[in-house]
Amino acid sequence: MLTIALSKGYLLNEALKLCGAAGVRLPAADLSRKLEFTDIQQKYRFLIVRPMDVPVYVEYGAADLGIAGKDVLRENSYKLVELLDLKFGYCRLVVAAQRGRHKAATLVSGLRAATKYINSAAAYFAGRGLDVELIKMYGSVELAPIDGLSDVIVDLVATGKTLQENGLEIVAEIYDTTARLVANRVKVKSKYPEIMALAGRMKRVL
Amino acid sequence: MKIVRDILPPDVKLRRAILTKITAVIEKAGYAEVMTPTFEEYEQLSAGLPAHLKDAAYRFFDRRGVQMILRPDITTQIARVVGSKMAKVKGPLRLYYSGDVYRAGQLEIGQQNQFYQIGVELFDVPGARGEKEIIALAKAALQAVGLRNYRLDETNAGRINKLPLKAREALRRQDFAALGRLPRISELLAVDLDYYTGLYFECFVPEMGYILGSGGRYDNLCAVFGRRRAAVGFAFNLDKLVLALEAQGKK
Repeated sequence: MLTIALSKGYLLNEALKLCGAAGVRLPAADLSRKLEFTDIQQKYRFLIVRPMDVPVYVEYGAADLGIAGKDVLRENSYKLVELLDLKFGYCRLVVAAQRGRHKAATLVSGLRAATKYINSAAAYFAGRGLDVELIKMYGSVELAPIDGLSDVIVDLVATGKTLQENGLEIVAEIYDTTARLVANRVKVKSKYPEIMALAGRMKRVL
Repeated sequence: MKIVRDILPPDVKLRRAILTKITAVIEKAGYAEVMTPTFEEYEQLSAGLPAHLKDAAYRFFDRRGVQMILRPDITTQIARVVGSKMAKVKGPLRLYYSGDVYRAGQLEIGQQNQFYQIGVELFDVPGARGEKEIIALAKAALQAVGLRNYRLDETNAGRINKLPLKAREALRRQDFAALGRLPRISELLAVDLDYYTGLYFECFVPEMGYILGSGGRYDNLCAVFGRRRAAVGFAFNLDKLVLALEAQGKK
């Protein structure tokens, strides 16, 4: 049996759809609230975990495979095998600020940035020679500039709607991200035929 | 988060027992023990250290202001010894070591900042003959420890290191999404290949998500210390052997 860690949240539905298209027979019940379930043929066990935890489960080998956003993989240096770009869950990591306040060219040292992506944000600002104070957030990052907690935010944007609703606009783009199929570096060898069979079927339906 | 730790009874006894079993196998195969210093001048070792080990090492200045290094591995020290002090000793040389190594970063899962390695190095036996001896010895050691279903996957590091830079980088990161194709089994690697020139292999058991040890051929390493010598060897991580035995219910 293969154990697969899936990201709770916006990637979950697409990930389950992909598994279904790749021939995994999922139970009919509502899966969105489950933490753990198996397919009907008992060939795959799924763990539903926080997106940031997916690569950790896979790196330690508690899960053989995982589906996680490239943003999460980039945020820390995990030793994993990245098997497929699954093409869904397209987002951009951006710097955003209140409308009219900042432009990419006028970002200056001394700013405060709120973000869940501390490492990516640090690398981005360091690369531009800017000393920016980073504030680690765990959610609702869009609120930070409104109440003066930070000057800018670094966050993931899909459509830009949430930014707009909160009076924010994109100042600069850091990178694009999509969902990836990742595998544990040793399990991918000890379970090579099973893992490649599933990955191959996924690849064909992308 | 990694930290150093105390090892208490009865764990120490288990670890000693594992070391005794492996030592018996490699001594019987004609390998003699070498002891190298825990720390030495950075200058003396740095030429032979691959970049990832330089980055990972603890370095400090002694009272004279000379830069020192806590050894991040022992293979490089052995290569220094046989490339310089033992340069005139006629091969083949069969050497082994066991001791703690220290790394501040770049740790694999299952590695602590201080971890214990036991390994062998075979010098002046080039090509397949030396490689066969080392692989047979690695298997015999795993057998002696009492592990079941262990596997030893071989690949050719020399061929991978000759690939175009982009493909090599993608393989180093194990990023097959970037390569746009699924991996062949020989392309799946758990560790950086920096100093290997030919055979490279990794040992693992299916119960665990990380390797127990690795080895391979590194014919260019001794040259930086004075004399080029064909070299092939392997090292096991003692902590991981313990974890593997536990995972197989053999503690």
